[in-house]
Amino acid sequence: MALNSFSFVLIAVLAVLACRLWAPRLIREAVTLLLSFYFLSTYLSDGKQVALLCSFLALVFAVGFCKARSTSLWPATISFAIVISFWIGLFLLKDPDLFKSVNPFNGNPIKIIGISYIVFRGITFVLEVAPGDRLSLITFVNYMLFFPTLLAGPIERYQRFDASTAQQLLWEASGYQALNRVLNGFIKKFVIADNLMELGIFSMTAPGNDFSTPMLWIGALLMLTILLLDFSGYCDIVIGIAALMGFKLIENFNFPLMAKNLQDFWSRWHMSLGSVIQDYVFSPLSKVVITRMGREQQMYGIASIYVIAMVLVAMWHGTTWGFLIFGMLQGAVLFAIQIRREWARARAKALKIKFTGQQTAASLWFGRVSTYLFVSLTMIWWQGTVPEALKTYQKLAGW
Amino acid sequence: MKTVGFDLLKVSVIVTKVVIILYFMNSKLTFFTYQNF
Repeated sequence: MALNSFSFVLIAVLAVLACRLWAPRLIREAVTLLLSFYFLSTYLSDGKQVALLCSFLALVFAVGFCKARSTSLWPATISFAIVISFWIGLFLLKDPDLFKSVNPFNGNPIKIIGISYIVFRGITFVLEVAPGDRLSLITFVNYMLFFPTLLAGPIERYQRFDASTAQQLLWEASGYQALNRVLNGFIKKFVIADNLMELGIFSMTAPGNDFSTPMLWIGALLMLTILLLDFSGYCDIVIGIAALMGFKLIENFNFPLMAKNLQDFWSRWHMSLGSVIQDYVFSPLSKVVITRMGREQQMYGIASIYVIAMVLVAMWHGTTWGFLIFGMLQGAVLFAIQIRREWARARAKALKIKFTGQQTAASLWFGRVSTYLFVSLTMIWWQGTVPEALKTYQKLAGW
Repeated sequence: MKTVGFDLLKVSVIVTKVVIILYFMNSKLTFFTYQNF
């Protein structure tokens, strides 16, 4: 069911009415859950998908339940092992050809729409539940399968979602803003991005197309803007509908094209994914580096974590060599930015001047343009296989 | 109307956007087509 279909609009209207008209939390949750099930069912075609999804939900809830009921301190190693196993399971599921000999999905592929997001919600649930928390099964399933965010996020946090569910919002001025945001999202995604998509390099290099070098450069430079309009438009629709239902979802974009460097860019693009990686990959690894490495090595340790984090972000999107290369390139530049900043700080200290990190207007714009160019050109690795991406670079070079 | 929080301007904005969406959605507009120069 597409977001611009009559069925989706109808479901959204029913959900908004249910959440606005009925005060009891249980009724609102039950109606939302039924609509989420219906929405999901339009993407399911066989029993294996249902069985796998139900098993995963049962496993995640059971872990959360045990953690909530545990009286003693929940060992971090258990959470770590569970999260690692979820990551591995996700990679094996998404790519049945990965580690063929041990992959249970090899020869038996199961495709579930939005599974990357569902697994990530599972990870945040397991990590966020604290001993003593009271868990509700219906809130949990609603959180995991909430229909507006099912396809492509944002990756909401369980505690925030639970808090949103608990409160009943009355129709107020924000209703107009939310509706306006939904319509802006439709315009961005379905009017502008969809119509411009053929001007992006991914369409231009599709089999059967043969574009000239100048045209390919236009496509390469437009692709990031088109993807931003597409993804942020989708998020506007989702966040707006959720707001009409009384849920305040996490924001996913903060003007990423205004980013002054690559670090800034990744803190503004797909922020809900970034915050999960920040909280559950970057921060714990940084603590390890700070507590276990010497002062001199810390800088390299922290910078290395950027590479690990970006490879994970990239591989979450797809387990191809192209995504791996993309992640490593992003991580390498983040590494370089971190080293440069540390170097500038050390230099300021040696010269006994205050390190402010301030930029001139020229360097700010140079940073913005170079960040846009770098992300646009490295994004080519997303498409197809490595030889296909190399062929695109070859064409861009005019060879 | 006050409790709903809508006024004429807001209704006009919403209606205009709905019309734009319904008219242009996935339409492969002529001004978005291109020449392969």
